[in-house]
Amino acid sequence: MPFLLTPLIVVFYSNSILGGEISQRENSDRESNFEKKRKRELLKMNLGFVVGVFGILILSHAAYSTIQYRGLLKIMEEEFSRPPMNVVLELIIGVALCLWAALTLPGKFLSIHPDSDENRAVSLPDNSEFMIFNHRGRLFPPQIDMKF
Amino acid sequence: MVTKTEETQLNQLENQVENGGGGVWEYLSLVRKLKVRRSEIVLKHGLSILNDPGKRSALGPDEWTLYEQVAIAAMDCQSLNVAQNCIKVLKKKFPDSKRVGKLEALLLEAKGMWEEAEKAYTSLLEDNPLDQVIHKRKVAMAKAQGKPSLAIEHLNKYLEVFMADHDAWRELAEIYVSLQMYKQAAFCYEELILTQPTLPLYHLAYADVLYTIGGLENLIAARKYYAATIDLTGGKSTRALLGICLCGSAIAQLSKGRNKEDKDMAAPELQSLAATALEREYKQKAPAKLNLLSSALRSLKIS
Repeated sequence: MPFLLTPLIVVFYSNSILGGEISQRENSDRESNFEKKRKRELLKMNLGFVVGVFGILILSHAAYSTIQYRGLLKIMEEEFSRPPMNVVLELIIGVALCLWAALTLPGKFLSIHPDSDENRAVSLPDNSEFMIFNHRGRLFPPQIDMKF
Repeated sequence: MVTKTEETQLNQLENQVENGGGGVWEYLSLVRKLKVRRSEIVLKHGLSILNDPGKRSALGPDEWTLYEQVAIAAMDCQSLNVAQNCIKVLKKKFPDSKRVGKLEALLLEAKGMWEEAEKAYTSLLEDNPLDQVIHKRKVAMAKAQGKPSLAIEHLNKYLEVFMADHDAWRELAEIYVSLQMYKQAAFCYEELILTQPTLPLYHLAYADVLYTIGGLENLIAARKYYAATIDLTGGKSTRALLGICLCGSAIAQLSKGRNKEDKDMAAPELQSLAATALEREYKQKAPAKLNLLSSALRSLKIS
């Protein structure tokens, strides 16, 4: 079906735009691990989106085939027990694709354990609103050049 | 509240920045987000960005936040000229800004001109009587001048209005502890635990204060809170494990001459469990000090 090609075109176009944007924003700093991770995440999300669209299309195609099959059975005046095997196979494939897309699209899942490394509070924020400058470090100014 | 992953990320970025790798802007944003106090590094690398006009224009509108961050770091490192210059630039860009007004008053504080700073803060308060940051600065000024009782008075008045401010409760508890008024400090920590019961650091601090006050009921309560800390951190808090061992031996010592039911309060199984967990952790992280730990634990159990 030709309209299946449109999500692919959308994906490639958006990838090229993203690539252009990121190369423009790169300053003199070397590209760090965080930017690489973010790019990888975006690509994975795009792939998940495409797979999800495919899965929904396959499911709707299976639904249309089942409706057509029931119409056929009504003409032949037979009982409708279950859809034919190829439609069942299509259903299973569609469900698997949608499942994979639903798990990949939201991105990183958060941890719920209170003592996992993501949620464990190692230190409280240093109260910078109550910060005083009258400490012992006052007598040791750092040796750096003045501004301007 | 800094989590473990954020702490490792911060240390990694810090090493990268200090050894000449890139990622300075990310480090500065992370320091701003986590509200940690790393003034020297922020000053050094922030200044290097600000002195380079190419990098400065690459920041766009974030340039002014960087000016503010570098100004505060400069005040902390006692480079008052740098701070003055940053504030001058900010004042040129935003002439009638309250935020810049607060920075100027902060600079007066850093210079040690307390009366002028007081006047500046009162004038800022007239325009905006419910500004939290200015009230907190008045408390900080009282603390810096060495008048903790005045600081406590201001902070109590502030907390009557803004009861949900965790940082203020914590600050009050720390001032009380520094003045050895432990019962009031315990009250402050109780307030903190009520509002944020899932944060194990508050339970730990409360247990420390209870242990310091002493007396049998307080020691039993302290042991309960140490146990709660261990529960909430999944056993990763060394201080809480040590706290249980110390509480156990102190309780055993206090209830020496009592009858049977009080002796059951000693709970020797809990103490031995904590001791084994401690030895396991030391074997993993600091095997050289394991002998020291074992002898200390043995002396605790004997007494």
